[in-house]
Amino acid sequence: MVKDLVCGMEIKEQEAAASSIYKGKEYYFCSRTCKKKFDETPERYIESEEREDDESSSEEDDESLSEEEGSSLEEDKPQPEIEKKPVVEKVDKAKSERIDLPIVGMSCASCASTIQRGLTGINGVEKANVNFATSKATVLFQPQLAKPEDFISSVRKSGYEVGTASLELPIQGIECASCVQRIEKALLQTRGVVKAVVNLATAKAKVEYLPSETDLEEIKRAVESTGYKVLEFEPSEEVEDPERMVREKEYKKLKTKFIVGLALGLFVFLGSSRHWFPWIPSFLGNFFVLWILATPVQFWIGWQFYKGAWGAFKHRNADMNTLIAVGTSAAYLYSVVATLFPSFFEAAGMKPDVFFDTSALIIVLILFGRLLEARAKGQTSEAIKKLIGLRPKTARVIRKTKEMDIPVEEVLVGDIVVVRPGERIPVDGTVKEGKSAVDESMITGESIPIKKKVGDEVIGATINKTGSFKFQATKVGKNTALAQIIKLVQDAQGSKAPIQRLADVISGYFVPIVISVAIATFVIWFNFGPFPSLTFALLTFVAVMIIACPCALGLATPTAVMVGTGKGAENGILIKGGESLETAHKLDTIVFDKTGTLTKGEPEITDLVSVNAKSEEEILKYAASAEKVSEHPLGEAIIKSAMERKIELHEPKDFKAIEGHGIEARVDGRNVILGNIKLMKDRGIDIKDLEKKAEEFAGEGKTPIYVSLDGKSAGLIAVADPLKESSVEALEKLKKLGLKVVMLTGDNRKTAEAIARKAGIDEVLPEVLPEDKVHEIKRLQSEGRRVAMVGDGINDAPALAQADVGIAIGSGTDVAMEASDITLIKGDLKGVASAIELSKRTIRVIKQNLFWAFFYNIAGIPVAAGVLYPFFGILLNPIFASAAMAFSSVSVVSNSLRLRRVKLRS
Amino acid sequence: MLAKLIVTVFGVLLIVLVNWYFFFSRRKEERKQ
Repeated sequence: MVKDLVCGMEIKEQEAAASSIYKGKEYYFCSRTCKKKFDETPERYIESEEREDDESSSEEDDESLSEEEGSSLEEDKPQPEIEKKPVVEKVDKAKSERIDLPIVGMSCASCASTIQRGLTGINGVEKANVNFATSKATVLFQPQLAKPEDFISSVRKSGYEVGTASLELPIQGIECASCVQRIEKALLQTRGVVKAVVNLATAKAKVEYLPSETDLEEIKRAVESTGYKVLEFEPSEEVEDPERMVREKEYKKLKTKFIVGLALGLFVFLGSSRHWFPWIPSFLGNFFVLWILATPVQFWIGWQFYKGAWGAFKHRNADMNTLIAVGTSAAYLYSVVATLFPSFFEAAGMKPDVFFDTSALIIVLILFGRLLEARAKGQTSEAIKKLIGLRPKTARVIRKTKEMDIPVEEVLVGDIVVVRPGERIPVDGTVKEGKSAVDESMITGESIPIKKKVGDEVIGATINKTGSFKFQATKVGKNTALAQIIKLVQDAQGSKAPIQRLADVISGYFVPIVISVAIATFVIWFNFGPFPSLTFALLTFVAVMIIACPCALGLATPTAVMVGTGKGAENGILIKGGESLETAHKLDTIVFDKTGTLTKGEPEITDLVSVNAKSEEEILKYAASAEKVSEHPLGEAIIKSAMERKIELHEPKDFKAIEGHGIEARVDGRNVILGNIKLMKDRGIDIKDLEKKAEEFAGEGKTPIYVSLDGKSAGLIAVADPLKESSVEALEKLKKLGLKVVMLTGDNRKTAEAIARKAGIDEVLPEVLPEDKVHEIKRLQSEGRRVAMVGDGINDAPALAQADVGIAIGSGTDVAMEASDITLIKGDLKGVASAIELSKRTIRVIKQNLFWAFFYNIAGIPVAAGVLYPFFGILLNPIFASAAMAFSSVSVVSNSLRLRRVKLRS
Repeated sequence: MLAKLIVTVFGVLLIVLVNWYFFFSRRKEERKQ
């Protein structure tokens, strides 16, 4: 038997439909099409076959290795610690992966903990986090031990669904069953693909996938890697934004159920209240008719409660579904017994009564609450929707000297893209030709259009205002700034704020306690209640079960975090997670890195003093030549000044940077030293004649740089880095918020203090070497302060990570942004105050929400249990209890939505 | 009177059962995991 390299089918050599000889070796094929494909690109098939062989042999190696380890473990029992080591190491080395699963059908925080418990129980799962507000499960797992399918089936076992998207791809060239297998295998190996079925008859592949993990392009690539072509097709809207489609589908289903339930529930209600509405026909009051009307509401419309309750029960958990299912079932079953065996009640001296209206209306009202909640929850992620909406669909690129419109997904790095006035820039890139002004407000929040010329960078999704230009694409697809921002905001919205732990712990204990309270209420009313005590006991039992729903508690924090982080993104403030948002409101000290953060980061030479009969030009020539290979901003300022004066520079030799102090090099055979007073003293250079002048410069906020030639002082260069226009205003705002502002700089004390005076800063930490920034932050923290660090450079990254909240200025480096908790896309320092203000407001909303959620339950349960009855004769009807419960979650979500209207004054 | 006694005993048993199932046995299982 031989293998057809194109479709993978095993065939007999003598039965092969065709064969080809390539590099002296004969290859056999099941059909002429396979042969044709092979002949076109033989290397591709041979290479992919070799790769497969390598993979399978390495898998075998792995297996045999673990077998060997296993056997050695068994054989050498006396020394288990020594022998066990390699196994442990192997597990440690394995890289864990992360997957996000959209969950459908969650109704409260307890549902989230049910799913979370199921996921955590899977072998290979390191951590699972289910967020109720974002309806998302984030799983950290060891890919060799667990697979995404396991997570999906666990979620389904818990009674919920995973929001997957599906699409049908028309594929060219499928001819045999092996082709089908090959494509299916390739698809299933693609991360995020849950199910793949290829139909030979229709030549179409039906793919079910997780939109958060993969996209159409990746799926297409997987098919094409097997040698088949995906034909052009119009992707349905589902592919464009599948998560939204899933949400909308669920909403529509809920709406239909609600409308049908409302109609049936109304009939049940009218039939049960004939004493209020005597015009109702008498047959509608018949218990059997009411039973028939209430049954679909109980078991079709209310099925989701039973499903959820059972899923939770299996995991030894109880959630709001449990409460609703048990509560309404009690009322329903009591009524069924009263309908079938009225004599049983009559024998006990009671009038048989039914509560079909109670069970049906509770279900309908709760469904109504969920409908409102689903709509409001959709609005909390509006910021993300707005960001996704910014993505342009097409791009005009130049390929083979021709301009053509292509889908934005097909733009490649290096493509030249043409943008006309009024058009959206499709991807990130660098301007190559032409100039224009670009409105970047949607990304940075900066309202004034930014001028762009050749060499400037443009961001995808921003709008070109005035002129036409061509740019070269540098970042496409998932790497564009917009895609990164969307990912960051999505992650932040899905993260949990520490304050939520309280709600999580409480909702975990809450439901079983409520069930206990409800049973106790039933027993007490049955024993001590007035006649008919059974009816009173049943109604209070149902009312307690229904009013005590932990869903408002579960929604209190995550909805506010979602709206808060979304609001931040709209204003150019990217907050990495709930934790950062929460910590930001507790801050009391803000540390600013000076260069590039408070100042423009573009230092200029302001003064030049020469001594020992050297000319200014000569000093500048040596200084600038020595700095030629340095990357320090002060060095750049000296070079720039020399270039402006048209001074010819020479290549330095033996260049040495003394970090935080200066540089040393040889220029034209002369030894040049540039640096601060410490460096000069270390080298034994006499600088007495310059010291006074240097102090004068420092007093003006300028950085004095001594220049020495061949061990003798030659001159002094004063460099100043002007403050950003927004710095003073921003610092004032921070002070108004009651924060202590500290400046961190490598400058000497005098210079630093002069700059601090100009900026209005009270505390200065001068002469701090780059590597000591992190120690300074630690020192401030050890004093009990809550510190935020604001910085932009790579050398700020450790300090940003050490601070309680690291704030990176967006115009800075990617490393700084990576290490920070908050990123200000617009390089404006006013964003620091805005971020803190936003955090304070969000936390205020969370606290309000938690108060109301607790208040509803704490006040509602005793009333429902009938505490007020002996004193005021007030008893809560279970129908009102369900309305109150629905209202509680809606009010909490609406309170969070108020954050959307907040105007950040700073 | 008998009915009251039965309901009380049954109610107390049910409360114990609910708490055992959702708290104690769950915790035991979690510890095992």
